[in-house]
Amino acid sequence: MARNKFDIDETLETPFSLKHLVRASAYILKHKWRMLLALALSALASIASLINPRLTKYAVDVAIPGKDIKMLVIVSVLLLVSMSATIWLNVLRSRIMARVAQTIIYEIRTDLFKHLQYLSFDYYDSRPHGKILVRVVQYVNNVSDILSNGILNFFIDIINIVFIAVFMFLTDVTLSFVIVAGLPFFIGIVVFLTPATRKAWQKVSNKNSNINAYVAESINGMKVTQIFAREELNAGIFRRLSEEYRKVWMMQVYPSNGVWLSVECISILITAAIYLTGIRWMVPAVSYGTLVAMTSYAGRFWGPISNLANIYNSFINSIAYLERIFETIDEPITIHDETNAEELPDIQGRVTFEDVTFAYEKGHNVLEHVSFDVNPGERVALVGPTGAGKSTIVNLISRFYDLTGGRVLIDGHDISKVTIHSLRAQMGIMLQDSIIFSGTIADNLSYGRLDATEEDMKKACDIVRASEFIEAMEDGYHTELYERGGRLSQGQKQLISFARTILSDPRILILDEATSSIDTQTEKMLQIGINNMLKGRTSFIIAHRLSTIKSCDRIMYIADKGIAESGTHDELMAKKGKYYELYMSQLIKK
Amino acid sequence: MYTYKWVWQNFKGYHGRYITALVMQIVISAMVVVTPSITGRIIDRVVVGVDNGSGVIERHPEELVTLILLMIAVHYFRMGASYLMIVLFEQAAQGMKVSLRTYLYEKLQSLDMSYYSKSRSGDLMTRLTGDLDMVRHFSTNVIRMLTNAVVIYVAAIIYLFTINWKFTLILVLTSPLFMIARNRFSKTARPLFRATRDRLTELNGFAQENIESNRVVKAFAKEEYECERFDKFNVAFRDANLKATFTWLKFYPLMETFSQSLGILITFFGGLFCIWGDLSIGQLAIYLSLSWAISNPMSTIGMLLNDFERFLTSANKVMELYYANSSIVNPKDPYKKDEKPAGRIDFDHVTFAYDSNVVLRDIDFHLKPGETLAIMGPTGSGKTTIASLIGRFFDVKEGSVKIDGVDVRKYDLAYLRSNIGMATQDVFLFSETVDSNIAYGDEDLPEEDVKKFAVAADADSFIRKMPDGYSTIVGERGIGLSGGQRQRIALARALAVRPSILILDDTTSAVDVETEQYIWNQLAKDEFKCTRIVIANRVSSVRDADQILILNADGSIRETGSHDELMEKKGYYYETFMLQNEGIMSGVTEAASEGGAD
Repeated sequence: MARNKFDIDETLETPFSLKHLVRASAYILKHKWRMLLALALSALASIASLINPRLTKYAVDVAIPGKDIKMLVIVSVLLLVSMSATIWLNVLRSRIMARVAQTIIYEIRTDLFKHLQYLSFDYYDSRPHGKILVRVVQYVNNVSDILSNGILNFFIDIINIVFIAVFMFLTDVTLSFVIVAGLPFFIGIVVFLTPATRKAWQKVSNKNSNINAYVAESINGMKVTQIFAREELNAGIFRRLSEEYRKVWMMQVYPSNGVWLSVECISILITAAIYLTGIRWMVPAVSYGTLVAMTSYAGRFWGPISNLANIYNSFINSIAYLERIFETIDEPITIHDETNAEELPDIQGRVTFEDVTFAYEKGHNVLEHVSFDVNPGERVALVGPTGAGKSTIVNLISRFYDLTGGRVLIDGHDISKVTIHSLRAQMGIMLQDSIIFSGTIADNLSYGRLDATEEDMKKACDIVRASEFIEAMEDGYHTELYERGGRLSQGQKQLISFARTILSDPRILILDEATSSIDTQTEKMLQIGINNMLKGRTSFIIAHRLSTIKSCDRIMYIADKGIAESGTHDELMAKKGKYYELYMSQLIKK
Repeated sequence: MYTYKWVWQNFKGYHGRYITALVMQIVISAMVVVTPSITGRIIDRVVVGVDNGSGVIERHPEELVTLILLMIAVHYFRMGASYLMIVLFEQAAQGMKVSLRTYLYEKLQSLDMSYYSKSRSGDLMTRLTGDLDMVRHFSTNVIRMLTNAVVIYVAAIIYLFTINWKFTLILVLTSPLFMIARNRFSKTARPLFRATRDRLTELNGFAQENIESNRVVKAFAKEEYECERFDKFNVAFRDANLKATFTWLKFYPLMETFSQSLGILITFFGGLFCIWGDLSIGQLAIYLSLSWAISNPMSTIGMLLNDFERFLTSANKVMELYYANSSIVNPKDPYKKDEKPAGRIDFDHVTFAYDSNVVLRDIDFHLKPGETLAIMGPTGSGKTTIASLIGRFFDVKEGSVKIDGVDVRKYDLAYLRSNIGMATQDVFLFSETVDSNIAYGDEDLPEEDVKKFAVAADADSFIRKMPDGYSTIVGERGIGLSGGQRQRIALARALAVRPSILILDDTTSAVDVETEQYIWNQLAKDEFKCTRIVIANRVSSVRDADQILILNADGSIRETGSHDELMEKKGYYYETFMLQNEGIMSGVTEAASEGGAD
């Protein structure tokens, strides 16, 4: 699979298409009634604002020359009323549209986030996390305005244009044609500029994404950077990324601003043409009034067109972001429930591998033809060289990846035929990375079982010997942890995530290097603690320490893409094979 | 006010361009009157005609083409200048952004670990991205619109003053009312904008944590729960936005009334002045035709208030980071040698505390160049902290840490750290190729050396098997590799700086014992000779050390000595040894038999 890093631009396979618009319209159409209402309010507001010039004209033409102060007061009051009406109509419209805009981005973001939850490990492993994040946060924010107010203003402007066009043609047909004659030129320019603008904005979004990825990774990896005293070099890389961003940003400035520029350039030519046509060429020449009216119509006709151009422009810009958002939402979920997947009933804990073959990347088989059958309640240790596929085997039990060949069965149910949730919810998986969330220790502990009481937590922590250090912390179980566990030691993080796994009360327990960072004495006590807990539960344990491995019911030595040896400790020792070598190598002569 | 000054300072190198753009904006705004005056002239002289002084109306059709050409020329000039001005503004702002962003990035790199343990990465990220962009947006777009509004307003007011100062004064007197409304809005809205920004940061932080923890989420089948949790942040952000907007909409009628009522004031007072004979109808017409020039700028300024508040919120966040202080900084006259340090390490009665929480007590040990110290002890006893003190990631509370007899606080930080190779417990790999990860501390490392270090860390064999070998891009945090594989890449990375001091913090915990043995044999070679600190729980990792330090849970030294000495002592080390070799050793102890579970 193609992997991405911070300085590789993400290519976008899909060409520009109306598809994105259709997708976006699904979010917008939900609010069509509100938007229509807002549109109606806008129409009312513009009608109210049309009254003002009439009233003013009346004051100037009638009231003031007539020295009629009373009339002047009345007109002023009417002006105030119509002004207030306009303002309040606008307030109402803005309130409605604010809600629409916020709801649209809320919904897009919810869908995006939800989809991300179901994407497989591959998706997360093959690109910097900052590039995923920027889509959820920034990109969604970027499109909110265009998808709400942009759309509304688009319609308002269209309506304006139509209205003005009607008035215009009623006033003078010839001159109206002059005004409209500029349109083809304008459309030509916009069509000419669009590909450049779109490309430029795509580059901006790419470079922006790169910077985000680099910043995110820099912050997360800051400790490594400081350890290796690589600050200067990184600053250089960052400067380069920022410069690249600046360059593409400036490349966007030129075509983007070309749109209003061309509107201005064309509209002044049209004004000139109106004067020339009206005064020079038309016989008889048009009246003064018509001329004034038509030039003002020209302005009022091209104003909304200029607005439309701007909306179009920001639409092009937003499309670059929308494309990325929809691309993510369209990312296929590789591990998903089959159409007629059933709930996995409460399990006993029998785990069967039938001729399982698996490859992360095509052509690189990690496991080949692996078969085994583990009885409920059995405790299985997986040993073998690093990278031999121990973690892979346990990952397949939880269906984190789909098989290349063969079947994995739990209690006789093919795990690819049951719902993922019902499968994983019955398993307790402790991963190599002890990931700690920000929040309290209690929040972390209860992650797998939200209704756990503090007593439950304490019990689980007692088992893994974590309660002592937790209770020594300032707020005990309610101590706030910073991101990634902050100041907890690696061993402490492991203990907490161990307790978290135990607390979820799984039927099948998978411990992948669960105690690698824990000192031997704590581990020993911990083992005594979990012995009881493990009774009746099937467990898979990956560990390097003999003390952990020895007591298991079955030990599988994983090597050469499969199970090289399998049996109890005594059986394998008697066999004097690979396990025997491993075991003996670990013993130290006194 | 200081915020504005600070932003201005950051335009360093672009001041000329920025000022030019600003002046151009002023000229362009002022020129707004030129086109109408030309068209007015066309109407007057060509269409209507002017009195030639003897009561005869004379038209000048011959001037039409000239005037039209003049109008086009002026307009083209103005638009061309606008375009150029925008380019200048953008150039200046992008320049400011690049230098400020780079500065902030460098600042981030200089901040110490205690700063990081207390900051949320989502928040830091927002400062470098969203907040910074707000500052850019403000200093170009907002300032531009503001300038335009102010120039038009001032020009119109000055012109109107020349016509009738009393009447104009009445119009100007409404501005203070506007300012009062503005200030009240600012006061009410500022916390709301801050809240919006905070909610965004929280949303960002949550999403980031979720993305990073995607494996745990799946392991616990908590996708729906995560969606529910995310929804809270999503809703909070939406509501904060709505609240800010609605508050703005509460003030909007007031401010809009002030600006729009200017037109009414002109009609009303202008009418009165006319009736009283202080103003001619023609003059009133001028007032009316210019009423947009005083009311629209007011509206615009009102609209821009939102941006002002957003800008101030963001700028202050950026400034906080800009002025953040690291407690670990280079000393004056930092100590530095041309050659690498020999690698002598002295801990003189070191006591260390995170805040008030004492982690290490009276740690005292001395290592000659080339010696190895192993540290063992219960979980959370401060093993990693000892390692962090050597590279001065924290400063000691009491006592001192010396390298080659010089206190680490006197060293040039970059010199000190670049001579320490450290493989941390929680392996962080960058989403980069394997070879650039290994060469992280020495970008110019030749390819064959990368391989050499990979071989020493027993990473070469599995790297070769990866799809693109050394050019394979590994996921962030090295996800996609097994724990043991990550540890070995981290080890190769630490070796690649050819350090005087090598710190291995639990570096082989996820590696099988055979591999570990291979690694120790490799490291024993002369070319990897250096002072070493090995933190481990496995006896096999520590037994060959010159000194072994056993810590108590409270961070004090429990036992110290060589393997043989400690075995004699029959203390913690002995017990651990027995536990790890249970059942096989002659003379099984009580402790060991307990370990035979079930």
